[in-house]
Amino acid sequence: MIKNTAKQKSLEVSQVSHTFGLDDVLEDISLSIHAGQIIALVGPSGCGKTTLLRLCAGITDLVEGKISNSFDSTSFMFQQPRLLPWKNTLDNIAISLKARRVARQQREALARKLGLRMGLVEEDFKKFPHELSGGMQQRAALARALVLEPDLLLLDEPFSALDVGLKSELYGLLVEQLVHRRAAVLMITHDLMEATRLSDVILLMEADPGRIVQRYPLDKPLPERDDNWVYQTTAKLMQTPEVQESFGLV
Amino acid sequence: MKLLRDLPAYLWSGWGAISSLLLLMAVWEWGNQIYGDLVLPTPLAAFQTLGQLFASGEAWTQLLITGRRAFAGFLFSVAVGSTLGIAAGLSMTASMMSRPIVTVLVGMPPIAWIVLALLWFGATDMAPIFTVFIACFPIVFVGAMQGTRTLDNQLKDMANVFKLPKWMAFIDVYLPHIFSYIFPAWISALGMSWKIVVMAELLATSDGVGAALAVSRSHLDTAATMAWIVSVVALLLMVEYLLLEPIKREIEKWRETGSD
Repeated sequence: MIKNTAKQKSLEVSQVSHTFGLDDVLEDISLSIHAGQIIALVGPSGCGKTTLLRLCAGITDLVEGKISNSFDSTSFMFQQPRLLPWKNTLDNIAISLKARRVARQQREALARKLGLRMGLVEEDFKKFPHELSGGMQQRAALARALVLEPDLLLLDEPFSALDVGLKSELYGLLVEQLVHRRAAVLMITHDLMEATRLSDVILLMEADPGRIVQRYPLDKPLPERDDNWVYQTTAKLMQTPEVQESFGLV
Repeated sequence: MKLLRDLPAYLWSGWGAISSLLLLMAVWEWGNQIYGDLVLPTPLAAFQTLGQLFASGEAWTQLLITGRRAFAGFLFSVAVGSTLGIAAGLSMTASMMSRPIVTVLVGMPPIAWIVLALLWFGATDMAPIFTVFIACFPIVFVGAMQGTRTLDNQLKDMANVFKLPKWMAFIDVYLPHIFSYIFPAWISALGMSWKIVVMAELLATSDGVGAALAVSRSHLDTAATMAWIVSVVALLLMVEYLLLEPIKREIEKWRETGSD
């Protein structure tokens, strides 16, 4: 990936297209995300959201177009926790620190601190992933994603399998961690309300081939968004013809 | 170390095994009462003969020779089988190509290998060692290949996303998974090596437990025959349950289901 020389850090995606075999998965995608910005990619399943996110993370090879990432550290959260089953919770959280050769004592201290803040308790750290509930596993995965203090976080619907209460609690923890460090977030969701609650910009995608069809900036600062505002804004978005068409509501 | 802390409880759980072994002894004794001493001597007679063999040093000598051959063949098959198996698992083509070959190797009766080994190496140490190697190799190879083939793509992505260096991805992500397949294969190979070596020695060499069995057969000494069998089986059981099984438990703790 090419380092951007501009002083503000950003992720720039320009004219990216992607194919799997004969299927056009993504067509001419361009977007940019700057420090402190939260962008939500919204669209029906099969619109190539996950592929786009994987391209940004560099785990799928780029075929056409250009992606440049000038953030210092990028982290990723998968839909599933993807913890190593043979490592205990603490070692799982600290894995990226180990990859960067942080000394054992220091990385355990950092992992413990963040794990506790994410709602894990001391006894959980020695447990193996299979001994934790799904929610606890995602808390550990969240701590693992945040332990590097990333300034760009890519989220692939990480909490979609959790119940509503837990989901909003974990998003709350996430936002709290990110906002005061002015980290950027690119998140995928198929839940328009979630996008409205959390993001600065909603990018609406449509399938076959996956492309961005509409951009909705939301100017209200995150802390000022109450339930009422979220419901009303979501309802308004739902009524736009683009959203209706993208989700096949017409 | 946890291994030692758990040892008493582990040994205690052996009572069940011991009682079923004693039941087997009872059946053996019963067989003796039906068929007489020549066909099936009493367990007591067999153990007495075994005691004499140990007292004279004969048993130690032969067991050492046999053990050395079995272990050499086993180690060789573990080294070659694991390396080639992992390599084959990494490539789809290689694993497709190796499958029929492995099937042929598994299907070859060990006795055929013994004959070939005799022709190739003569009545030397190499004949039993080679036979053990060639019989164990496909077991280890398949275990290693399966372990490598079934590596989890999701965890591979995780390793990429968090930028684990190659050595760390291998040690922390791939190896534990491969190991969970390869270790049981090693254990079956070890059991196999022990059986094959005795058979190879019986036909191909003049020393070792197999050769001693051949001698006791020619003397119609059933008690000695049973004594040698007991010594070989007991040794295998000891290695398996006192050494390998505890190691396996320790290493695969993460697999245990349910929370504590």
